[in-house]
Amino acid sequence: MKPSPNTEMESTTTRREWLRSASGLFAAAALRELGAAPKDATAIERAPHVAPKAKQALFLFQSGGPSHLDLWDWKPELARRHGEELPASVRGTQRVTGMTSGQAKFLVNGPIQPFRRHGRSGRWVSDLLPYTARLVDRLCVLKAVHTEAINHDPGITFFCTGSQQVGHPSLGAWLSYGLGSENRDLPAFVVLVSQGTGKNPGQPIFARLWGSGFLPSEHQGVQLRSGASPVLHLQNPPGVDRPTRRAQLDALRDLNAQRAQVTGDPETAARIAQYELAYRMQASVPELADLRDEPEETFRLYGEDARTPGTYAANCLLARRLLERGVRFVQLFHRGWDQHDNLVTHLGNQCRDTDRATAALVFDLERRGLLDQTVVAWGGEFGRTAYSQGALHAGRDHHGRCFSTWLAGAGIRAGIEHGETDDFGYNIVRDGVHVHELQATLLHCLGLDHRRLTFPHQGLAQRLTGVEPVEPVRAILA
Amino acid sequence: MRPAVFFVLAFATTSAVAQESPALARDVRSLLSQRCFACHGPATAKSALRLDRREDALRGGKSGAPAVVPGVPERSELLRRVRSSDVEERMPPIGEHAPLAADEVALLERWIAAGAPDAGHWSFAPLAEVVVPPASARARGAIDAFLESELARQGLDLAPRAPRGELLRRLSLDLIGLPPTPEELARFVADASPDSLEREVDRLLASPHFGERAALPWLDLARYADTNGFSIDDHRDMWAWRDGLIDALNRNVPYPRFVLEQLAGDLLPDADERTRVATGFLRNSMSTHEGGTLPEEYRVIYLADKVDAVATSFLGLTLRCAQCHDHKYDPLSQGDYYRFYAFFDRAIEPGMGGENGNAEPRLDVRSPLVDPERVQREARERIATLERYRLHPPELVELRARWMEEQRLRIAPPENGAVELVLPQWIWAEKSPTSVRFERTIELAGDLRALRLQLACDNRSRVLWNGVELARSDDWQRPIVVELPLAAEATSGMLVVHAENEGGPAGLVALLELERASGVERIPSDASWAAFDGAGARLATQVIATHGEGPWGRVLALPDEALAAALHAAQPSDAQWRVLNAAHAAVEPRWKGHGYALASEIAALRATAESGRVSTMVMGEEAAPRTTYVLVRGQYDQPDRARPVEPGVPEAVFAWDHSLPRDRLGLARWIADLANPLAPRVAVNRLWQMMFGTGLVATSNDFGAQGALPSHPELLDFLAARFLASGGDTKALLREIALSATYAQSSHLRAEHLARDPANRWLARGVRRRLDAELLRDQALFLGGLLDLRLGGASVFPVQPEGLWQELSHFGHPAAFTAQAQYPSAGADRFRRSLYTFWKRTAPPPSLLAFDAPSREVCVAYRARTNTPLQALVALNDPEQVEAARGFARRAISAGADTAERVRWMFAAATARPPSARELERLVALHEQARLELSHRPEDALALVAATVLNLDETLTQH
Repeated sequence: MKPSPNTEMESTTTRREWLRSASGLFAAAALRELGAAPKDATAIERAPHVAPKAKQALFLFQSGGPSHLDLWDWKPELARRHGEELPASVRGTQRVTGMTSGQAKFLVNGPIQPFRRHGRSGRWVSDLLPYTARLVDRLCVLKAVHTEAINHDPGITFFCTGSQQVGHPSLGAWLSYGLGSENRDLPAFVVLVSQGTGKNPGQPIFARLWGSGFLPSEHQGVQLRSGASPVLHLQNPPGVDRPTRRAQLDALRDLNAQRAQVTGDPETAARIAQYELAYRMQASVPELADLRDEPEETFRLYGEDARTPGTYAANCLLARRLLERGVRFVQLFHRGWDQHDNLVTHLGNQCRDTDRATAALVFDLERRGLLDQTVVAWGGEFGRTAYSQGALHAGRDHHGRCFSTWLAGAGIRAGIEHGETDDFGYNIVRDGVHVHELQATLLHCLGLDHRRLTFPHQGLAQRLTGVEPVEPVRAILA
Repeated sequence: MRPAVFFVLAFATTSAVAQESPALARDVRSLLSQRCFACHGPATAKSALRLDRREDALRGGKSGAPAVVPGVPERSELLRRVRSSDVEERMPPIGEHAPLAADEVALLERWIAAGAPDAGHWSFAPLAEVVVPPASARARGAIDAFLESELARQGLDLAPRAPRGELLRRLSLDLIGLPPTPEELARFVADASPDSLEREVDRLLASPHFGERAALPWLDLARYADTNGFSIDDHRDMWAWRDGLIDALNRNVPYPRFVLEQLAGDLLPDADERTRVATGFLRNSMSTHEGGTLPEEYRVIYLADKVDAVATSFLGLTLRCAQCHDHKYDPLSQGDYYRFYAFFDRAIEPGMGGENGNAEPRLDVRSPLVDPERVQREARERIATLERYRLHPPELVELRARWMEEQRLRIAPPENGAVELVLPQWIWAEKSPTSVRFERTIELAGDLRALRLQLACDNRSRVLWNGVELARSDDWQRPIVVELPLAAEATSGMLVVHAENEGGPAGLVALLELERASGVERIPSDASWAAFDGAGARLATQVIATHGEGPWGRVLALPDEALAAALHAAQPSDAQWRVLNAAHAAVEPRWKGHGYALASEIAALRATAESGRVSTMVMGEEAAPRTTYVLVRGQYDQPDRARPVEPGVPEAVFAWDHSLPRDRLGLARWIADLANPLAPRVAVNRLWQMMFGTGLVATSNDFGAQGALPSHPELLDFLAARFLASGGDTKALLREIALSATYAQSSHLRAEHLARDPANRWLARGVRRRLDAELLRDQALFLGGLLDLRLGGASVFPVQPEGLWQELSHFGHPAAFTAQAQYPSAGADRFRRSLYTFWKRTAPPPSLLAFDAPSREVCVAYRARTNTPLQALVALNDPEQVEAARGFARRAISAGADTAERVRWMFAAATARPPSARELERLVALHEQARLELSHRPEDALALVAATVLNLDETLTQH
């Protein structure tokens, strides 16, 4: 009987066998380059599972839990009742965090800024987001997203990996596993991190949020950093210039190829290919990260912050450049959205950090025709409470029961809202979207059926969206 | 052996079938598990049909037709349905499932025809009594005999022996994790005596580095790390456990005893410090102290992690699956899960984990590998290193230099030369009494004209001078300035600052200025200032920060000329750097973060620096045991009060012995029991994996129905039985493997290998695999002459790209957490063996991560081996690797007189074989090209060749 295909180890073997038989050793090695097709044979067989609308994805992750009540979910009742006790019937018996569970009072906090209607769709958006508001007709705002966790670590781990338990692959790792990359010289999954000027330092984030979990580690996200070595150890050591490195790699290739003839080891060919890809990355990544070729107009669009490496705005610009080059999935993490206190100033700062560049990026992708092939998401791990933490307008605590996230681009119906919360933005009234449903929707746009994108681990065919059955949110699909 | 396992071998109609039936039943069970159990298995029985138990399959499901009629394939519903051409009828159902392949259907038919023999699940059955097959002349023992007999079945043959050099390298990497030295290689290659190999194997097994190598898989299983893992991910101290592990492996503690110590060392009748420390295996779970956490939720998470680690490491069971629902493939119910969980539910385990250190229960202990003097010395050296960083934080050094240049243009040098100001320090009285008296006697000799005090105190305070109250303060940001009156005849005076403690330890910063005709003498506050509590007992004074540098900023007025002098000093003294840093910190906010971070790092080391002991987390039982309930869907807040459970084990796997206590010690004994079918198989498989890269069971984490079948089931059972008979002698088993002909084969692939066995499951050749992350780094440093081979001790901080932790961490938060910024070790500690690298779980060592090291967040039994361009970037460009290449070239220069000799030496040292003429020529040509065409200095050209040799596929590979 042939070896069971249903185990971690064996599936790797199967993949290799498949590649070998399909393409011969050297072609297989080339295919296995980070850029080309590090996908599992089963995924190759199956994907796309559905007709893909999007080839690429972008997630603008706002880490810390942005306040849906101050940004997207307009609740006049909150303004009217500002300072009154939140009715017990609204608060219910649901869990609140240890930070406010001991509060004597739960006073309703009105939105800190006015909302206005925008666009042809006439959607309400806070004055805190003047730039994004102009694009509201391109967005699909999900107003009743809900999650299972109430604190940052479990919340963000759940949002990014589909499980509060650590050890699961991130969304991007699943995409790399399922779809590989479109660009042979760049990783399939790139991560960009920035710290906001709101809460500084923001809540910590973790490599596991872009990790490969139980998938092979080649699927983990590659963090692109500001500075001379955007990818770790990209720069040659002092004294080794590019011609020297070329000479060295030529020797290495000759020696490895000679030896492979003796040993017969096909893995050697793969190694040669990886060294060559590394060499190409040494050119392609600095070129990608070098913004000097951007016209002035770019910085008028994204804002002056985009000139400062490591800012959210600069990362938005990099995201566009990455998507232009075919990177499968780009995920930004912007920290500092955790407004337990200083709600007014810190939330204002976070919005100033991000609003303009976010809108610029969506607009820029659209005018370059990239929005037609890219699905975009914006949101954080949870929302914030309708009641005040501490004094009125001082802060808001975590709220996972409902919060706002928006999607845009390929596969998504533009200019709509989906889901509704109650008058206090505290409970879902209709069309709630569970985090797993959101993930299933993103996969769907990319041509992946979340039930069929699986990997055997711990005796189960594991998937991003967990064991309970969920469906993509059909109502918002274009 | 105890009888009582779940399934018994049944039915054997003919002797030929009887021979085949265990294998046949095993294959069928695997097939049914892969394709059928999801709907017709332990957790779900659609149409009332279960195929995982023979009696159920014989009875059939709702339709009433028996799914299996032993001996009569044509009457078996199962076969009819998998063969059916009617898509409505065919199983598995259309949709996500493909129909069974023809060979799979044939297998089922053969099985039913043979009477549908039922072996149960192979790994739950007792170890089979196997007969060693006859062997060829090449065989060196039973291992080879089993391997050869399988190879014969596959039509393959053992490969020739590997060259001696390669064999020694393979052995050395497998057993001590280091390549052989050129001297060792030369000696072994030249040694023709028949027992030369045995002597080498024995030498390696006796090496103290054996324990370091053998610890690597255990560190992954134990998810060992130096940080707490969740949320803030600050540091913890578990290295005493790690040292104990290395020590236990070096001492070759019998495996059953090892199991008892790791799982229940606190409950043993002869428990001592060493066995208690061993229980850290269970305390390596991640922990959190995130604000707002509900402790019970996380306590449950920590316990679930322990269940997962124990079930995976010792039993190869994916018990975790049953936390929320019955296992779909293995006979593990949710009740089984919580019975197992109940063993750990009785331990003390705070849901809110330790902050900047360990949670209870913990012990202050000695390392078995490191004497207390070395521990003390290293802690003191680390503190000194951190103090240097406090003076010169790497990321600020350049900024400060630029700022100084600007300031020099604005501030002229002082007229009367260097004024050296020692900055006052913020001092706190340790502990938190209700009030603290800081005292200082001041010598008043000489022509003193005036005496002035500047003081800031972060508590309400009174200033007394010779017993007279002169001033009060209640705002630390508005320091007091007091003239202290001078009595005519007095030769000394007594200054007392009486601080009330409100909500935190009392602290102050002060500067006394003694004005004389000759100039001003300054006495800054420092650790020498005495402190007393209300009852007059002396308190230790602790320096929290230097004035201006630390989190509290500048509050006192300091003389301008001190800054001017420091700015223009050719080589500023440390005191002057502090003046400069304080001034720079006023304009550069990043100083604050380092102030917090370094203060917390240093504070965490003080106790160890004083005592030579280190804290470690251990297991301990609650005084009153909890009642454990099944948690509905695994939810911490949904205990099913109707389903209390007692500690217990999955009886379908192996029956509980009722003479055992129902506690962790009982569990450990149950695992270590000679008759437990899983534990010895799992242990032996892990050792096989250590030597061959892949276990006989490829899924070393899963011996259940969804796991891989053993490639050589008889051999696995034979070795497991042998292991038990030896009392769990790990080194003896490794020795037997190491001396086998199978292990010693050449790893070259022939066409038939690729065609018939690309994954090398039948071992018709030696194993080729890329070195594991730690071995790869260690090898480069070793060849470069840099590797520091000291055993054990506190984890170290190799140089890594700057800022990696800060970008993600809580660096800069005033609560001052540890492990938020990485401060590289000084000196030789940069080049310790990789298993001593400080492991931060949310930002693991990047160059190890690139080579498939896990994050150590969860239990991992097997590492994938990937091949990526990021690996090439590390191996070519990581400054450590570059330094290793330079060191390698330096060693080559002393080893050889000319380029060719040097290249030959390096090549042999790295690959354990001399280069061929062509290879030598190619590398010499590279050297010439670098020197002549690319104009490198000779030593740089040789370093380039050295780096090339270090990056050869052959060097990176174990073969």
